[in-house]
Amino acid sequence: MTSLLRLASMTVLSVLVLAVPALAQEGQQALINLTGSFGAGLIIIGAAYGIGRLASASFEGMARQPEVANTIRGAMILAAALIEGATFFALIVCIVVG
Amino acid sequence: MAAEHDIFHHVRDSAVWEFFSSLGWELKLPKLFDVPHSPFLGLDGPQGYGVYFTKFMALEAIVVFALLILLWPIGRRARGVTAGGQPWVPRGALANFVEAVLLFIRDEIAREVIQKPHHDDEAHGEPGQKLDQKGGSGEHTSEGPHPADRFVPYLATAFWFILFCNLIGLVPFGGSPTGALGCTAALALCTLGLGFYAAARENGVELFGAFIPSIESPLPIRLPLQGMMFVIEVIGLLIRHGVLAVRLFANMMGGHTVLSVLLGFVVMEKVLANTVLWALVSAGSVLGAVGVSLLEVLVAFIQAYIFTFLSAIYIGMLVYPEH
Repeated sequence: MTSLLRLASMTVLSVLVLAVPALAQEGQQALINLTGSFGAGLIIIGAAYGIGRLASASFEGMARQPEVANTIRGAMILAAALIEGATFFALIVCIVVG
Repeated sequence: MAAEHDIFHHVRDSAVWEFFSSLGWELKLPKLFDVPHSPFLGLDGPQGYGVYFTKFMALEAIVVFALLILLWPIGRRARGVTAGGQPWVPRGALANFVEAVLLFIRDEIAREVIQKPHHDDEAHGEPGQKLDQKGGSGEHTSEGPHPADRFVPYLATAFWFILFCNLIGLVPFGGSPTGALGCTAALALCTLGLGFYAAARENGVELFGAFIPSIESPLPIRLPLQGMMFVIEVIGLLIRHGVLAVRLFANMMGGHTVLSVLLGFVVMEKVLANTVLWALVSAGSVLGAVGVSLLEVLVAFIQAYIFTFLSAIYIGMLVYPEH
């Protein structure tokens, strides 16, 4: 079931992405304008996925070993801030250029 | 869509400190001197283009003043000993708070991260023998001087300054000076400068030796590889410090921009036209702005900690490079 879902989403994505130059060539308005806002949307996918994985791994670790929960929490905040730093870097590029 | 609402207007630095500009309550700040037009040198103000004593500069001066008032008396008292020759013990909420923060910076940031690598020919592993080089695990806080202690003044200064600069952006009519790339770039340059200075004092010319990894191969094969890796390491060093600046800048600017956009919904033309819609949007906007402001308080603390922590790591990497 999930492989079917994956196939379907990949098909939709590729149609959308290929539709952009195709429609523009015919002189119509493009389906998706690849502007800074679109880039910001892509960035948030990556950032939220990364921080979600970080959170899930750290919660699991805290549940397994509650006595090191504080250490894990400190490391989690540090890693989340680093991921967010990279996110904001890309967002700045989107805001300034796009 | 919105008439004239520039979302970056109150996030950028400016030569006019606006309180209620529709009432005319604004403070026109003085111009210092003229510079040729460039995106980096000056800004546009009421007296033309040039270098002004801007709002962010005034806010930084206020932050420094506040830090001096808060921290100097405690520092002076902490230097001495009490009449009985005992070390100073803080009394009162403020002194205890300052001591807690400084101990956190010394123990959990500086001593944890900047550690002198001990050589393998020293005996260790024997129970009862105290290693005076490794930092504390939080339990041995009064061991005596540690090689990381000489960086604590800079790290503490950076932490307090960044924290207060971030927080003053949440005060009404304030702004965060760290939301300007110039401020954060200057702070990152201070970290880089201190790292180079301390590394030069500690290692001498061979401070660049850490950038050249040792490869066991004959010279013609080794040399281009080591050359390329040296260049990559130097670029990595500069990029690391640059990202230090951009991370803090982007967090502060982004947070205040989101706040500006949220509140900007209230002054949109379509919203102002309809009173019921305006009431609903105002309520929602203000509640959202309160929530985002609370998040900004958390981000202010976290970003100050992250900057200090990463500064300590980068300084440690330069001063005591791992072999």
